[in-house]
Formats: sequence, structure tokens, C-alpha cells
Amino acid sequence: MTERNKNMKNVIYTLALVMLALLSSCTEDKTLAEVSPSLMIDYPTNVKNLKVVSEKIEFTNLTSGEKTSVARSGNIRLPEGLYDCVYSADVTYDNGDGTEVATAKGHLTGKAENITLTGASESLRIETFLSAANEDFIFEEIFFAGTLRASGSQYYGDGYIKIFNNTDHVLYADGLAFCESKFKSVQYFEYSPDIRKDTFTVWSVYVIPGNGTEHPVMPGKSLLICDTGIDHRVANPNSFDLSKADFEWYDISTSPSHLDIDSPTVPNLDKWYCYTLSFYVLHNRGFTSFALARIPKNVTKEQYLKDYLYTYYYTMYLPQGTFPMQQTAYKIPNAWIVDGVNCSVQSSRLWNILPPSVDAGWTHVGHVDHDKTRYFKSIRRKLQFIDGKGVIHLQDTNNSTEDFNTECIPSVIEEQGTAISADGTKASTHTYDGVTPKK
Amino acid sequence: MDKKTVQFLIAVSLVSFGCVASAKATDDVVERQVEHRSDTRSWFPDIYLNPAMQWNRYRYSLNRLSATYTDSRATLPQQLEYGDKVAAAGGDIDAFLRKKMISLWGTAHYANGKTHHIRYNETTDFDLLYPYVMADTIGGGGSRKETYDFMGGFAYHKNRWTVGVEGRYTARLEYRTVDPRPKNLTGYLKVKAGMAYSGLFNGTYEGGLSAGFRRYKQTNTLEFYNETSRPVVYQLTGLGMDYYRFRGSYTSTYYKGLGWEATMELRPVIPRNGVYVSLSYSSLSIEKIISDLNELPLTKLELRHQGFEAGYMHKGQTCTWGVRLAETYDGRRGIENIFGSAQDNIYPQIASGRQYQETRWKLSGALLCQYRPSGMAVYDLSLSQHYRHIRETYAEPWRKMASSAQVSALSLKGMWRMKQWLLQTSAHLDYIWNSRCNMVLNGSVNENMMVPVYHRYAFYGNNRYDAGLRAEANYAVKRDYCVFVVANWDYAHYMKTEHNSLLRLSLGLEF
Repeated sequence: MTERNKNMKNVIYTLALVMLALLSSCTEDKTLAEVSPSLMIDYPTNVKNLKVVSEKIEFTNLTSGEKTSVARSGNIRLPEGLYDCVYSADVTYDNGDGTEVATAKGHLTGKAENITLTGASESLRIETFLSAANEDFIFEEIFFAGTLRASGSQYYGDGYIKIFNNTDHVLYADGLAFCESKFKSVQYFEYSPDIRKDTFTVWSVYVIPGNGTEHPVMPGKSLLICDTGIDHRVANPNSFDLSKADFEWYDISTSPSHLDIDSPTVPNLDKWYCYTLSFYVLHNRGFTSFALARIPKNVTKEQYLKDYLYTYYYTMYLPQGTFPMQQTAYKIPNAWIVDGVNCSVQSSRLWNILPPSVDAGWTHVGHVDHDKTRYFKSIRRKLQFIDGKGVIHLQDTNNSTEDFNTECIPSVIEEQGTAISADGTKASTHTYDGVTPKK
Repeated sequence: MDKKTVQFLIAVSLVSFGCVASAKATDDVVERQVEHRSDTRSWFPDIYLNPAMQWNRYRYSLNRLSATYTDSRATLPQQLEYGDKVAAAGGDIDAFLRKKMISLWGTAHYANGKTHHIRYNETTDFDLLYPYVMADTIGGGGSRKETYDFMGGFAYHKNRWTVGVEGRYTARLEYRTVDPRPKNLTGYLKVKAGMAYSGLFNGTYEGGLSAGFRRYKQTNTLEFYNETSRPVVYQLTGLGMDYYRFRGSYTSTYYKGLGWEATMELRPVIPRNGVYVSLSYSSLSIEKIISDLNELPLTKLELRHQGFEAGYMHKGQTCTWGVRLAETYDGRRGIENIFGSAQDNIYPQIASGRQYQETRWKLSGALLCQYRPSGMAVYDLSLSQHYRHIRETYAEPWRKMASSAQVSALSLKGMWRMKQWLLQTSAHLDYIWNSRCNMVLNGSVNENMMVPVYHRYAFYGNNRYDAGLRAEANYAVKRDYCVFVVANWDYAHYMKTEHNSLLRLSLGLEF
């Protein structure tokens, strides 16, 4: 072999070695670590002889959207990340005292939200709540998205809620308050004081008038409470008639260019408080939570407005700087709430405004902010069963994710056969809950 | 890139071009064209990744000024993210000046056109940035695209040493005037310097080294003017996955990247029998940031390229032949940042890990031959065989798409000189066979964003072919300059029934 060939060989070997070195530098790799959190369930302490019949634990990875169901006894293995965890169980427990004890069936729910699961966080505690039979009104339907004109522009004023008597006896709606949250589920700050666990911060409180027995509602029946109780088809042929609603919320506006309409056919709710000086509409992108509350009889409107105002603080961190903020708001103690529903949109949701003791889930109309598909749609509580007398019973487990059908054709639109889209297509379905057809 | 910068770069290009043009060699333009078009050293293109290797690439200077119109139509695009119809017009300047021990070269390119029906991608430079692009289910319409590309370099040779420097800046502006309305602006700067020493093996071989850096930026925003109509906007993460948490309305993002490259070369000092070897390595790391969320660093993409090319060329009186073996490896690793619960509009980072990975490996061997029966004609033949393997994975939930294929390619070229005319024609046929593709998809499948994945699966899983014809006629108006016209037609047939045809027409001046 000549000297030249040897040199050539050396050069080629050197090049090959360099190439191998470069390739080997690509091998460093680190995937997301797996975590095995231990789960601790805090059962209600004031329930006697509680026995779990069946249980389910579901983790939702908030980054990827992946849902993982696990058995509690099994080994939980998840990639590290941010999770929501929902615990639900069917249980039996002793109901009553002494010789009157009976075994009752119930449902336990608990939720841990925005849990960081990394190597450092190894245990997870979930507080559970027993769904006792609700002896008061519940939300049957909330229609906040509104309708569209034929031109495609938004139409205001035809939002409504339906409240339902899910008990086996007559309920009186007198004194029942309807409230909407001030906080939005898509914006979260570290509020101080953080009173969320015990109170509900509101931007509207409207109360059904009456002396206590003026507005009876039979079992399986509902009340329709709307924004403006007129025939909206006059102004927007795509809307519907609300002139026969049971109540409307009416505001005396201080803005001459934005006046509310006081319907002559529909009685007004008693307005205790509303944030706006013009007229009130439900948040039509679905970022707020709603509650029905029984305000104690000894709390008058004047006393409420005096005693239930509070000041809270938070800090806004923006690219332009840090801004300490101070605001005041009215609050409703959670103990007054008889039913509540968290609403949000999947794409922007950050938190549940109502705690799990009121609503362990959340529901929606629309999937993203400004979702074009949300108009003409409402959330409707699921039908549970119709008893032998033809009385409707709706599902109520204090978990709106489970209890409500989403993106439904509103019941009023179904009843009146009005438009379900801006092009005027008429509704042709008739359902109990937006899904189950009426026979 | 703002208007003033563009005007400045165009002015620099024209001044440089003017200097080069005025200093060109005075040889017969057709003779210079023949030299440039029949250069057998270009059989080993990776050698020229080192700017120092350019100094003796051609003996003669040659400058080209052209205007080009391109029209491409597909029944269904090879990738939905590319769009199915492109119409663009543009201008090019290409100059090479050789003067004793110094070579100067440069290009300037401007194109303005419209691409129709881009789907599942609202980000420019998809090939560079995938899978971390912004997407929606609407797309479509016609996207306007402007491209500015400037490249220039020089090499200086003294004794046995050569040094060279080359820089390139590419800017793109892409926008759409109907919803969804992306407005993207990109800038890609590459600068490299190299050296070569021609004293190896008793002065018969030249070895080279080069190193460079690159910087990438893109602002990628998406707007909707229709207040009542807004589709879901996805931040994709690969194989149909996306950041579920950031779906919706976070449409203001930007990318910033930094990387480096290095090459090594070995070749004979003068064009003659010998071995050609080159080795290249480049790395680029690109971060994606959502401006809407307090400059949230969402993902990081790590791109690595390694290339190896070796060959042998035997130069004869009338026949030159060569063999070439090439191998490339491209690695693409996507690192996702995981964020905790947002408080006060700040998202704390709680974890980070590689989720997406893609490797592309290609091995090819080629037989090359050039036949010069006389000084008036040159014929080139190239036969090559390639093996391609692509593997994409997503870690959690586990997803995989792997494909492989054989490619057999044939290329023919002919060039005839007839008095003041220089005629060139070429044809190529690439047949991709034994195509295999398999896919594993775990986890819940978001069908909205699976369409491009299924499309890619069908594309890689079927045999396909690409064919092309090119014809160029040059007419020397005077001894030192000529006019030319070029027609180029490419046809691709894929996914059993789909096809794409591209027509490119150019005319210009060469001197």
C-alpha cells in the first residue's frame, strides 16, 4: 500500500468517526415522566353507615384533553401534567334516627381541579359531597346564547331560564332568587379574600315576588323566566314568543339610547341588584355560573345591599406591567343556594366558579369563545324518568357535566317550531330534554 | 421585513449585480454557458456547502437575469397544508464572477403569487416548523405570498489556501383577505464562513472546513373579521394531537430560532479523476411562543440534519463517469412545555418533555455519465436508486406513523451548440415503489385534525411517480450576451388517482 493510499484511508476514517460522533450526539432524549399519585377520598363525616356500591375516578389531562378512567384500587400511572380529577360513586347510607332508620341510595361526587401532577406531588385528596334529595327548585334549562337575525347579527332580549319542581310536592317560587356570577370561568386571578368556598360573587340578583304562597308550582312543572316578555318575532322573525312567560327581568335604564322594554303581559322580577345601569342580558358567550337561592326571610333587600357587599383585591400581570386591582361586589352565601350551574367554553376554561358542593362539573353551549354555532342553542337538564302519573323527573346529581345535555334546541323553540338558525330553518323536533324525543 | 429593508436589499443586489456584470469575462457567452451547464463537479453538490469551495467552481463568469411565471395545479395536493393551486410570478438574478484569485457570486429572488386552498395550516414555512403550526378546519381561499431572497458570497484564494464567506437572507410575507386571515412575516438569516487547503496528498487534494450560524423568526397571527363566525383554532403538536388547553382564540404567536452548521469536504484540486467526500451537520432550535398568553413559551423544536456524500469521478476525453453514494439523516424533536394552573394571567411551567419525534433517513447510490462526442454536444445520463424511511412518533398517548419506499430515478440531459444557438433539454422520471406505511393511533382521536394525518398516510402508503421535461433555448444576440426562454413541465401521480402538474416559463438575459 502506498503512502498516499494510507493517508487517504486515514482521512476517510477520520470523517467516518466525526460522522458517528455527530450522530451519537442526537441520542439525548427525555420524554414526559410518569407519575403514580396516591388518591385519598374524604367522605362526608355526617352520613351514617355509608357504603360505596360502585365508584369511578376519571382524570382529564388539561393539556392534551386525554381522559383516563382508573379503578381506585389500581395503580394510577399518568404522564406528568395538569389534571382535573372527578370522583363519583353510588352509595347507600342510613337515613333517619332510632327505629325510623331506612337505607337510602345516594350519589357521591367530588372534584379536584387544576391539580399539578409531577414527581414532586404524590398524593391527591378529594373532598366528596353526598347528593341529598333536593327539596327545592332546580334549573331545567338556561338559554343564554340568544338568536340571530336573518342578516347574521346578534339579537338581544330573548334569553330565558326555566326552573323546575323536581320534588313530589308543590313548591312555591315566592322569594326565590336568580343570580349570575360576576367572575368568569375563563379568567382567574388570585382573589383576596378568597371566599369562593363559602360564597358566590354575583353581578345580578333578581327575586320572584310574592308573599310565600302566590306562585305555586306543581311537581314536574316549571316556570319560564325571561329577559323581555314580548313576542320577539315582531323584531326578529328568527326569534320566538315570550309574551306568555311567567316572569321577566326588567331594568330601568339610565341610558336613553339603551332602554329596556317592560312587557305588559309578563310580571317583573323584583330587582335587588344588577351591575349595569342600562339593561341586563345573560352573558351570551357562556362564561358565567348561575344559581337559584332562597334568601332567608329575615334578610330584606335593604339589609342585603348593606351587609353583603365586600371588597376584593387581585393583581393583574400584563406585558405592560403589574397592576394591583381593587373591586367591590355582592355575594350570596352558598348555604342559600338551592341549585347552581357552572358554564364555560372548553377552549378557554380556567376554573369552576361554583364549588363542588354546589356543582361538581360544568356545562356549555359552544366549544370556543365566540363560537358561531352557539346561537339558537341551550343547556337542558337530562330526563331521568317519567313516573306512572306522567310526572317528569329530571337528573340532579350536583354535577352539571353529567346532568345537562348541551347544545340543545331550546324547549321554547321546539314548542313554537321557530327558527333554529339564521337562515330561518324551523325546528321540527319535540323532546323532553333536547335529546329524548316525546312520544 | 419592512419596506425600507426590502428596498435597501434590492438596491444592494442591483449594485452588486452591476459590478459583477461590468467585470465579467469577455469570452464567448455560449462557451461560458456550456461550461456552467456541463460542470461535472456539480454531481457532488454538497461540496459547495463550503463557500471556500466555490472559488474555482467555474472558469468563466456568467450572469443571468430572468422573469419567471409558475403555475401548479393538483387534483388533491400531496400534503393538504401546501394548497392545491399555485400561481406566482417573479424575477431572479444569478451571478458568478471569477477574476484571478477571487470569485464572487450572488442571487436575488423575488416572487409574488397566490396559493389556493391551504388547509390545516395557518403558519408559513410549514416544512420547517411542523408539527408546531396553527391550524383551523376552514383554511382555504387564496393566500397571497411574497418571497424575498438574497444570497451573496465571495472566496479568495492565495497560495494553497482559500477562504470564503456566504450569507443568505430570506423573508416571506403571507396573508389572506378572507376569514380566517393569517398574517405571517418570516425572516431567515444564514451566514457561513469556510476555508480550504489544497496541499493534501502532495497537493493533489483539497480539504475544506466551514461553519456558520442561522437565525429564524416568524410572527404568525390569525384574525377573524366576522364577529359571529369563528372556528376553533388549534395549536397542533403532531399526529393529530394539539394543545387541548389552548384551543380557541389564542391566535397571536411567534417563532424564534437559532442554529449552527458545519461541513467538511475533500476533493481533487483540479477537475480530474478522484474521490469526492463531504460531511455536513446542522442544528436549529426553534421556540414557539404565544403572545396572547404573556409570551408563553409553548414548544421547542430541535432540528438536526446530517449529510454524507462520497463519490468517485473518472474524467475522460469524451466520456466522464462517476459514482455517488449519499446518506442523509434528519431528526426532528418536539418538546412540549406543560403548564400549571394559571394565576393572574401567568402560567407556571411544571414540566417539559419530548412528545413528538420524526426521523427521516435516506440512502442513495447513483451512476453518472457525461458524453461529449464533440465540442458541439454534451449528453448526461444519471441512474440512481434510493431508499427512504420516515418515522413519526408521539409519546403520550402513543402514536406512530412509519413509512418506507424505494425510489428508482432516471435522468437524461442533452445540450447542443449550433452557431449562435445553445439548445438544452432534459427529462427525468422518479418511480417510488414498494411504498409501505403503517400507523398506530392511541388515545382519543380528534377527527377534525386527523384529516391531514390520514391524507399523509395515504400518500406515503401508495406507489407514485414524478416525471419532468425541460427545454431551454439560448440565442446569442451578440458575442457577449444572449437571450433565452425556458419551459419546464413536471407531472406527479400519487395516491392511485391524484396528480399534480407544474408549468414554469422563464425568459431572460444571460451575459
